[in-house]
Amino acid sequence: MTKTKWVGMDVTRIDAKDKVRGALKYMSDLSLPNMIHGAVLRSKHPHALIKKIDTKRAKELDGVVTVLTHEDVPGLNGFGIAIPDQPVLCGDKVRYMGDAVALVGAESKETAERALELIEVEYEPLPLVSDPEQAMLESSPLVHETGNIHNHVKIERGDVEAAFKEAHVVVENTYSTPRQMHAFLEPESGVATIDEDKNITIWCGGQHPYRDQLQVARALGMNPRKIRIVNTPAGGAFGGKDEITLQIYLALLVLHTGRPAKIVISREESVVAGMKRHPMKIYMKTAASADGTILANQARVVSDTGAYASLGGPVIGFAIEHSCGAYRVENVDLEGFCVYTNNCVAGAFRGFGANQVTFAVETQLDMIAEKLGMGKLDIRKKNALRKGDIAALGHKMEASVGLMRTLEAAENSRLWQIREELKAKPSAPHKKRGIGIACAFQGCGLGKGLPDYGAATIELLPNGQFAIGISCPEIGQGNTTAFVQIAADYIKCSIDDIVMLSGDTGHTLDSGTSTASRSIYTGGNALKLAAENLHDAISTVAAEILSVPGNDIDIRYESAVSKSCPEKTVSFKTIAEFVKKKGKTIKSEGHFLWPVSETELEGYVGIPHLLYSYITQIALVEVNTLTGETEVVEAVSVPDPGKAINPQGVEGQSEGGVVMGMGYALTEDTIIEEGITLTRNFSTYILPTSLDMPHKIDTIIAEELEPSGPFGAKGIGEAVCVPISPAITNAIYDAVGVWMKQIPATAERVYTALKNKEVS
Amino acid sequence: MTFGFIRPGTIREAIEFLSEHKDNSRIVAGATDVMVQMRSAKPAEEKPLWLVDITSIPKLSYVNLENGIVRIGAMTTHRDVARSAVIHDVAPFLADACLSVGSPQIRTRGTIGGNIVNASPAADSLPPLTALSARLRLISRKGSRDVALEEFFKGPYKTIIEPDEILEEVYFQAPEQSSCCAFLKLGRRESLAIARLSVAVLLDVDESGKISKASIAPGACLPMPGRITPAEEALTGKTPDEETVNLAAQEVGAEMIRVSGVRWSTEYKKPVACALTKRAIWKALGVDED
Amino acid sequence: MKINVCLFGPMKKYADKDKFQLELEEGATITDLLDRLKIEDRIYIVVLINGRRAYDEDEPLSDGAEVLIMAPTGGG
Repeated sequence: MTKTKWVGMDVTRIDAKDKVRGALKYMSDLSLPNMIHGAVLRSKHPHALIKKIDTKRAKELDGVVTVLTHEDVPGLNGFGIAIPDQPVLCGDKVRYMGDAVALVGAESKETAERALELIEVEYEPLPLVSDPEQAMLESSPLVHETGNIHNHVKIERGDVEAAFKEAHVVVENTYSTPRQMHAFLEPESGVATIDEDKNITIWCGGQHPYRDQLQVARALGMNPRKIRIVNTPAGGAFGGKDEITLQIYLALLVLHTGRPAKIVISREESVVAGMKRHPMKIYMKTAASADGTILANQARVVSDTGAYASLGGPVIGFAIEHSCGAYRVENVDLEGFCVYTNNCVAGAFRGFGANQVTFAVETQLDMIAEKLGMGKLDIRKKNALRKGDIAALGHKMEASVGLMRTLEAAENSRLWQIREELKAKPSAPHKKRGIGIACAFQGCGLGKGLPDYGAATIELLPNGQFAIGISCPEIGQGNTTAFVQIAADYIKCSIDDIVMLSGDTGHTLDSGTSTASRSIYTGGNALKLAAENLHDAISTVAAEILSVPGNDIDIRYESAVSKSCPEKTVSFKTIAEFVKKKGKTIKSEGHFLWPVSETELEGYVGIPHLLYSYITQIALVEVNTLTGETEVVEAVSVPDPGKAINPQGVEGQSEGGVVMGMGYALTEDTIIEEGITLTRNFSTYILPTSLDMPHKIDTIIAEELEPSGPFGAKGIGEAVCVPISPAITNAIYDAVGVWMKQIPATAERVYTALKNKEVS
Repeated sequence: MTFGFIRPGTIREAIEFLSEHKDNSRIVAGATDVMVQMRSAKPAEEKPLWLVDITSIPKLSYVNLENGIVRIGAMTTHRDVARSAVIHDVAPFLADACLSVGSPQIRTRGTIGGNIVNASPAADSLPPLTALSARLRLISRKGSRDVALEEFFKGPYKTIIEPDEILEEVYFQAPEQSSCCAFLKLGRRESLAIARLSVAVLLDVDESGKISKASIAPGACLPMPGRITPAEEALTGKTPDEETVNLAAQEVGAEMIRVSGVRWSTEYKKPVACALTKRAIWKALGVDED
Repeated sequence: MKINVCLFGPMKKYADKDKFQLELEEGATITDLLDRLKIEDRIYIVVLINGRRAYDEDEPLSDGAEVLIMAPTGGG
C-alpha cells in the first residue's frame, strides 16, 4: 500500500475553527441587500381538494411584494428525485399537511407570515389514508391516481418452505419501527439572487447541487446552466436535505420579483413539511439448523412513504437487499411494498432502509441463538459474510468484506471481555443490566442499474497552492477534510497548500451526491485520476524548466525531480510562478465511474451493491424495572470503513451514529395521528441530550482495505447508526428477558412488556 | 405579530403600567414559556400586546430566611434557587426540583415566579412548594394580598391572579431541623425533560423514629398541585417500614385515578407513580437507591 | 461515425434495447443524438460521454464514443 503523509492521520477538520468560533456563515446567516423574505403557506388538511385560492387580501397587505400560486410556476409544477409527484405549489389537491399551496415574498418576515393568514383557500376534505396496510387494500381511497402502492419488490431464491420444514428452529415475528426525524440543527433555509440576464444563484443547504440544479430548472422551464446552486455548508442533513427543500421557492421568488430573497423556516414547519425515516412494519420468519446456520429468511416489509415518493422506491429496494443482514442465507423470500399515505413524506435518511430491517433480523438472530443456547457473538461469526460468499440476493461478495474483522475486534474489546463483571454491578437493586450485540452491512454508492459517477478538479494556483473542487457537499460529516488529506497525498503536497471548493455548481464539476456512504470513495477516486493528469501537466512544465526530457521527471513531495539527474529539482511553487509568467494555468480533471456488481436483478434499479461497509456494535444497558427506563451505559462500535482517511473523523461519525441509533431504539418518534403531526418540535420529539449519551463509547476501527478505493477507503457515514439499535434492544432482553419488537423501546413499552411477562 | 415591550425598573412602575393596560398585557418572567406561546399565537390586528418584562426589577430577586420564614422573590431564577445556601439548608428538595428544570440556559432565564404563575401541571418547582405549604404574595395598585399556594390554582394553566397583579414572592415556614425531604422526577430523558411524573416528600421524624408529620405532593399527574392527604395519613404516627411506605405510595396512585380518571397512560403512570413515591419516601429517610 | 449508446432507468423507454450502436453524421452533437432518440425530457437528464458528464447539449460527439443517458437519481 502506498505510503501516506496525511491519509490515516488525525487531521483537524478544515472547518473546525470557523465552526467553534461561530464565524462560519450557514445559509440561515446569509443576508443580501434589498432582499425580500419568503414564507410558504402549508395545507390546512392532510387530504383535500382545493376548490379556490384567493390571494387578493394578502396582496393588498402593505409590505407584500408578491404572492405566488401554482399558476406562477413556469415549468413543470412538480419535484421529486425519482418521479416529480410532489407539486411545487398545489393547485387542485393537497395530500399532506406539509403541502405548499402559496408562496409569499414580503419586505419583512413578519409581513410575509401575516400575509399567509390572509390567503383564503377553500378546501373540500377527502377521506384520509393514514395506515399503509389499509392503503394497500382495493377499498382504500387513493392518494395518487396511479394507486397507493408506489413500489413493489419481490426477491425469491431457493425454497424457503422446504427450509422451514427441515429447520431445527424457526422464529416468526412482526416488528415495527418509528418515523425518525433527521433533526438537523439548521432547519431548511436559503437565499437567492437573480441578475439582469436572469441568471439565478441559490444558496441552500443540500446534498447534490447538480441534481438540485436540474430540479429547479425543470420547475422553472429554464436552461440548467442559468442556475447556480451552492449547497455547502449545510447545518446538518442526514439525508433530510437530499430532496428539494426550498430551492424552487427561492428561485420562484427571485424570478417573479427580480429581487434577492431569503427563506428560513421554523422548526415546527420543518417537522411538518420535511422528510422523515420510513416507518416500516416488518413480518419476518427465519429458520436455522441446530448448529446455528441460517437456512432461510422470509420477510414482508410495508413501508410508509407518506404523500410523495421522493426516494421511497429505492429505500424499499435497499431494505430488501439488507433484510437478511450481513449473512449467508441460501433460501429467501423477500417482499417489500412502498406505500403512499397522507402522512409526512419519508425519504432518504442515514441508513436508507437498512435500519428498520436490521432491527428485525438482528433480533431474530438473537432469538435463534437463545433457543439454541448458542452465544450471540458465535451465531454471528457462524453466518457472517466473507469475501467470495453469495449474499441474500444471489450476488457474489466480490469486494472487500470486513465483517469477521469487526466481530473479532468486538470480541476482544474490553466491554465484551468483562461483560459479566459489568452486568453483575447495576447501580441500584431495582435496575438490571444486559449486554447486546448486533452487526450490519451497508451498501455504498447508488447500486446497480444507474451509473454512479463523480468528478474532481485540481488547479495549480499562482502561489503554488492547489485548489481542489468536488461538488459533494459538506453536510457536517467531514468529507471536505478527508478530501484535502487524500488530495495532499495524491498531489504530494502539504494539506496547508490545498484550497477546498465544495458543493457549488459554479466552481466544481458534478461529483454526485453526499449520500449513500459514497462521497469519500467517489471524490477520492476522482482526485486520484485528476492528480495523475495534474502530474503529467506539471512534468511537462518541469521538464521545460529543468531542460530535461518530459519522461525524465519524477514527482516528489512538493517538487519535480529529474530521474537521471536528481540534483535537478524544481518546486511546485516555482512551477506555479513559471506558468503564471507565461500567462498559462495548470488545471486537471478526474472522472470516475463506479464499478458495479455483475448480478443484475431484472426490473430493479439501485440493487444490489458491489461495495459494502461493515460494522459490529455492542451495548451495555441498565433497565430500571420500576419505571421501564433504559440507559445505555457503555457502547462499543467497530466499523470497517476500509482505510480510515481521518481516524478522528471516523470516531466522530461512529459516536454520532451510536447516539442517533440509540435515539431510534429508545425515544425518537414523530407521532402523526389522522394526518396531523403531534410531535412538532424538540420538546416532545425526544432526542438524546449529552446527558443521555453512554458514559463511554469506544470506537475500534477495523480496516479491511478495499483495493478499488482511494488508499483503500470505502464509506462509513451510515453504517455507524444501524446495528446499535438492535444491540440495545437485544441488551434489554439480556437484562430483563423481554423482546422489544416495536421501537422506540420507550419506558412505557418496556414497563408494559415486563408486566406482561410477569402475568404470563 | 406586533407587540410592545416594556421593562419596568421598579415594582411600582410595573403595577402602574399593568393597571393601565391590564386587558392587553402579558407579564414576562423569564420568557421560557411566553416565547413558545407567542410563536404559535395568531397575529392580533386590533391591539398590540404589551410584554411587561419584570425580570429586571432588582427587588424581586432574593432568597432569605428571617424569623423562620423563607422568602423567595418571584424573579429569582431556577439557577439561583438551586444554588441558594438557604434552600440547601432548609429545603434541599426545592433545590433539586429547580435543578431539574430544562437545561442550564432555561434555568438561567426561567424564574420560580414564572413557573408558579404559568401553572403547568408538570411544573417542577410546584410539588416541593406544595409540600412546604407555601404561600404567595400578590401585588397590584390596589394593594397586596396573600394566598395559599393550593388556593392559587383553578386548573391546568389557570390561576386566580388578576390581570393587573404581579406575584411578588413565595414564602414558607422553614421546616424543622429534624425534617427530611426528597424530590424525584421521571422525564423522557436526562435533561431538557418535561416531567411525566414527579413527587416531593417532606417528613418529620420524631426521636422515637416515628413519622410525626408528612407532606406528599406529586407533580404531572394531577390537574393542579395538591397534597395527598390519605398518603400522608398512612405515614403519620408510624415507624417507616416496607408495608407503611407501600401503603402510602398506593394512596398516591389511587388519588391520581380519583382526580384524573383512567386514561390511556394510567396503566403505566399509576404503578410508576407508586414506585416513584416509594423511592422518594425512602430517599427522604436516607435510603437512596439511585 | 458510430456511437455506443446505453440507456438507464426512465430513459430505457426511448428504445427497444438498453444498449445499442448508432450511426450518426460526423460532427453530430448531443442534441442530434437526443433528437434521433426522440428523447423529450431535455432538462432532467444526465449524459455521460466516455465516463465524463457532459454539461452542454451542443457538445460534439466523436467516433466510438460511449454515451450513457440517464435521469438523475439518488440512493443508499
